[in-house]
Amino acid sequence: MSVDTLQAGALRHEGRSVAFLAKRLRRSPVGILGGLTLAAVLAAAVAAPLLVPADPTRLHFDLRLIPPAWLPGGTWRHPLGTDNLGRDILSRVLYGSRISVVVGVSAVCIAGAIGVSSGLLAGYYGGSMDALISRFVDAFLSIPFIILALAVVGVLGPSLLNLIVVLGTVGWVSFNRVVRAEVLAIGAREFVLAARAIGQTNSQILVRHLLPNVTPSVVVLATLEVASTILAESALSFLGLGVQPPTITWGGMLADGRQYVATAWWLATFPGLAITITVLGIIFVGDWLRDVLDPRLR
Amino acid sequence: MHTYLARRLLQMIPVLLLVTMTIFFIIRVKGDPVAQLAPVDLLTPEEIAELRHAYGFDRPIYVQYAEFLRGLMRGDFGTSFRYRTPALPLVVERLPKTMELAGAAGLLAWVLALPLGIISAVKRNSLIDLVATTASVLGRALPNFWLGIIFILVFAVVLGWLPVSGSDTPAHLVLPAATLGVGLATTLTRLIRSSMLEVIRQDYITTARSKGVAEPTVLTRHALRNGLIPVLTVFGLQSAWLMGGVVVVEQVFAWPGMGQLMVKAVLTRDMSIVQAGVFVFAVIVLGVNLAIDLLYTVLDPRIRYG
Repeated sequence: MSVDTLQAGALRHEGRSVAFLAKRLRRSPVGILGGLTLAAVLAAAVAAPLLVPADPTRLHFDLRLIPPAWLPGGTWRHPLGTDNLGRDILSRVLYGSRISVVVGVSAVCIAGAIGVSSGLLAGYYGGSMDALISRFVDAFLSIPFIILALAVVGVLGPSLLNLIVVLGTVGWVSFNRVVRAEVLAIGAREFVLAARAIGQTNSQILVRHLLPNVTPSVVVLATLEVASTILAESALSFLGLGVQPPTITWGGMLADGRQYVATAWWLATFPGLAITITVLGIIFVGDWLRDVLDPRLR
Repeated sequence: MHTYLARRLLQMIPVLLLVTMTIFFIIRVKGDPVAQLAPVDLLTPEEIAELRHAYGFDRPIYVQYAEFLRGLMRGDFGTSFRYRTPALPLVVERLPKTMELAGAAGLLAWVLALPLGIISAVKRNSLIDLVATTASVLGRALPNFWLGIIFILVFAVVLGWLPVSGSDTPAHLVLPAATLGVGLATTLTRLIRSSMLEVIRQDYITTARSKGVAEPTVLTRHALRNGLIPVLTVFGLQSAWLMGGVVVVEQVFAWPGMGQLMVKAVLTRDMSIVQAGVFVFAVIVLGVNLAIDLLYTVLDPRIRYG
């Protein structure tokens, strides 16, 4: 083994330790900003019942369409105002983070599991296995993500579980592409040949040797995929095909608020802002992770 | 060239077959497809059995798929329950409106992204570069339906310059096309910038400059031609994203295209329209990618398809 390879191995190992990540984070303002945003969103999702100023589903017909606190007619009891049914917008925005976080993370876990395993198989075995899987990828790439999700949700009916399953099974393609390319690049390296020479089986090589080597790229991709899944979830909710009311979703709030855009702009503005800030935070963290863990993906 | 075209078209066949299989299985994901095609709660068991027989759902699955494919060859996706007419013509009827929106958005994206991407690559770390880079980060995070609503709020409600929704005049096209186009432009700008940065470092560019070729010519005729190839590849992949965006944005602006028809069909469980819609969208995406493959030969004559 050459010195170069040894150093590369040491770097890779170092790249995985938490202390190393923490050290690198201190040097990246964008990473810190993204991390703080993400922490705030997660805190809102977990602690929503403790944080909200008012019951987010309770109707108050005498408190309809109150503007945000800093506008004339606003009150600090409802800092971001109330909606057409008198519900507190800040409370609803805080609660809305729950669905986005749950759907984003769970769907990406499903997509990652399908995409990583199929990518490992396609890259390692090649040949007809690769050809077969790649045709599936081509087919999935030619049907727009949101349109396929729309059609399947239409059949299954909109519910939290269905949404997660649909977004998970539709979103595996990017994991497959990245993992397949990585395996093609490292599959012919000495350590794989060595593993085979000492009599390890294909599945041992796949799980013990190839999988750990693709993990950094998969972590980076998974982070960025959570962002696009949250965007897709909110689009489906906006179209009325997400998790159904009374469950609060940012997309659903936007759809409700759209009709009031001329008279009460705050209804549609704040949930949209919440989506944008959340996604931005995740992208910052993802970009930072990519710079640290996997500079080749740049 | 012709053999290449023929080969590419042949390669599309297995992909299209898989697409049709996906569409075929969509309405069978949840057991009984009759429940997807008809309001079963309003029918007697005898009527349901009759329907099942009429549609051939009581036959083996491979026979059903063969029948489905045979119908597809004739452009037959079944009849819409809501409109009581064949589904495919209903979808195709809306195609021009959708292509008008997608085309305008795509055009706007290129018109914005080409100069922005080139300038921010040539003048790195300048103000324009900073603006373009910030915009492209924002563009990844802004949900397009929200951007659409904000555009309505600013340009239709507050400023009153443009109509809120509909599609009667060219002015109606501006806001939906801008909503989609701006999002796409941010991605394209980022790609053009990084691709150009890579190309302008190469020796042949230095050679062109030292020969005394004017800088605009170096950038457009020498650098851009090569720099565009990877950008086009990603643009092909983005065309699927664009089509997905069209579906959502049509909803925001009440634009009477295929997307609006499909969303309505999904909500009313009019599945033959959904199937036809998915198929037409897939064909558009495959077509765009084929066109891009052919464009490579125009940009770089060294790429010859024999």
